[in-house]
Amino acid sequence: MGEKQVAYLLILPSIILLAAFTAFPLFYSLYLSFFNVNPSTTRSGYPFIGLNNYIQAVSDPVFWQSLFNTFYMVFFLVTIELLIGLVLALTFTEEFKFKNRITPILIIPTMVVPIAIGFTFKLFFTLNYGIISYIGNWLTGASIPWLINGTYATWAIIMTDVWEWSPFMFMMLLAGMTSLPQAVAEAAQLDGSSTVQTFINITLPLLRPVILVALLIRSIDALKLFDVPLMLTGGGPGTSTMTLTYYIYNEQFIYYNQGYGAATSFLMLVIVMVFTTLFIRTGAWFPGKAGGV
Amino acid sequence: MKRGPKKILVSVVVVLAMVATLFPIAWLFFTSFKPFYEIYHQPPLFVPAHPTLANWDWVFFGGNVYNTYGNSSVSSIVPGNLIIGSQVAFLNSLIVASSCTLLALLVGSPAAYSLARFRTGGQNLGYWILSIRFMPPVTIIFPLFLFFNYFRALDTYPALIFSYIGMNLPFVIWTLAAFFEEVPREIDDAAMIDGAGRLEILMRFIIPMSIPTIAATAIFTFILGWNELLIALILTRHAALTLPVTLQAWNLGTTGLIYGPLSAMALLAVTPGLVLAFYLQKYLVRGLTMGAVKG
Repeated sequence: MGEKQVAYLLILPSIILLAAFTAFPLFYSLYLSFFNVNPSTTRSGYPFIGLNNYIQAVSDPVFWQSLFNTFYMVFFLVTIELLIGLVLALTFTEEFKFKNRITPILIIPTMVVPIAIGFTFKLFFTLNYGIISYIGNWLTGASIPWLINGTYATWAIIMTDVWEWSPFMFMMLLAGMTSLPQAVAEAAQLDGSSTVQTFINITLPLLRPVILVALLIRSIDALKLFDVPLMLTGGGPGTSTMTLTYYIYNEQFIYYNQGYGAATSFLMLVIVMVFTTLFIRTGAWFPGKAGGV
Repeated sequence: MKRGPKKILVSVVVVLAMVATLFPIAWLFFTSFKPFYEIYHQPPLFVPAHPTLANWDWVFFGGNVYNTYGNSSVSSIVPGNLIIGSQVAFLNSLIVASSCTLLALLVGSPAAYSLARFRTGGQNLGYWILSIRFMPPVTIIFPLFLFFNYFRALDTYPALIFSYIGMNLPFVIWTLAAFFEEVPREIDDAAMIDGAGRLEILMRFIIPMSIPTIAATAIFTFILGWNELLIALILTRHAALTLPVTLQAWNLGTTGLIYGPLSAMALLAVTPGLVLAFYLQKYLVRGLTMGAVKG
């Protein structure tokens, strides 16, 4: 047996498993999206309805709202996480006591189960009894309608995700910063550049690739946001915190519009792919001169 | 900036970050020891004034639940047999997360070796595997549901274990491939001269050299499986319910009446991540980017 055959033999089990449990379901989902699939049509065979599911999706205001909600949340949570991550990474390039003991503590949020985080923050935002709710009321003198008003509920979800995923940005940027050549920054400082100037003109452009990768990974993951809204708001009030994944889950497994759900899930897949492609292609908007991601 | 102010600024940021990180977990911890009336205390109590073990008694031994209406048994709050106790759910989560880790490592490490040494299938095969990691799981969940329903395998461990493969296997393959590429090829060549086959090289030389990385990858995979909610929510009903699904089902079924017992359950669910975070710190960046960025 030649080397080439051995190479394929080693990877074959993985290909079979991935084909059976991801590629096949993916194409089957695409197939079902052209049919009227719900529990009442299962036995009789699914009626073919062409693009109707897709037409129904793009004419459903709740679908558009879920899409808007998702991108609204992703934009703000990723931006805030990046800023917090930058501050933390800059701090941790300095030397201080117990640094090596503190770092693992700070990454706990990314490791623990999201649904339990959702639960904890639900305790925090519970009207009047929750600690964040209580402090908010005390500071403003009014009763803040956390989880009851759409805007506040959206920001409650964003805050929860920021707590959970800022450490990811922090660790990514710290890894990027510690691998930067120190000499460049030092030379700039010798030439009279201030700390802030050095950061903006030298460090940030050099960090560009790491920042772009971190932003991309975080955005794609956040576009699938589901656990925290499910726990915190149930998509509500109304549909004001409905995310794409949540919307599709509802359609398929609560309302049993399964063909329709398959179609919307395909729209979501296309949206994620377009987003990723645009992000990589237009990476040039970010400060710095180096090539693509 | 002068040394003094800079030092103070660093300390302030570090202390703030520590407090922000630990506060929710500490709150969950203390809430799990609060009697029901202290959970609704105003102003909110951080440390329970009259700590109780009742919440933990419920989590571990199915003891009575204390809610806003006083002491009552589980069945009077949650109708039906839809929801199981946390001991069973904990065990289910443990079994599913460990099994899918084992399966992914077993199947994934030869694949990673193949990609690292031969660039099998050119760039496309590798990128196909990578792209699966970014696919929204909600796209494939209904066909998986039909598939396991057809084989009468809904609500079983294998349904979850095989469904998680799309999430775990790409992770294992990419992380390990990035690492195997750094292992010098001379090791392979020397072993080949001694007449060893590729699989033997992998088993006898490459894997023993990579134990720390493989262990970290295994822990990551375990956590991926442990934390997963959406797939388990759809594929399990009763017997194979995992801890995250059980927590969310209890929360839904009791609408805020038993936050104390549920805090204990949430803390139970949080514990593995909490403990493993200390081990994983060194590998976090490498793990979360699947080997793309070296931490």
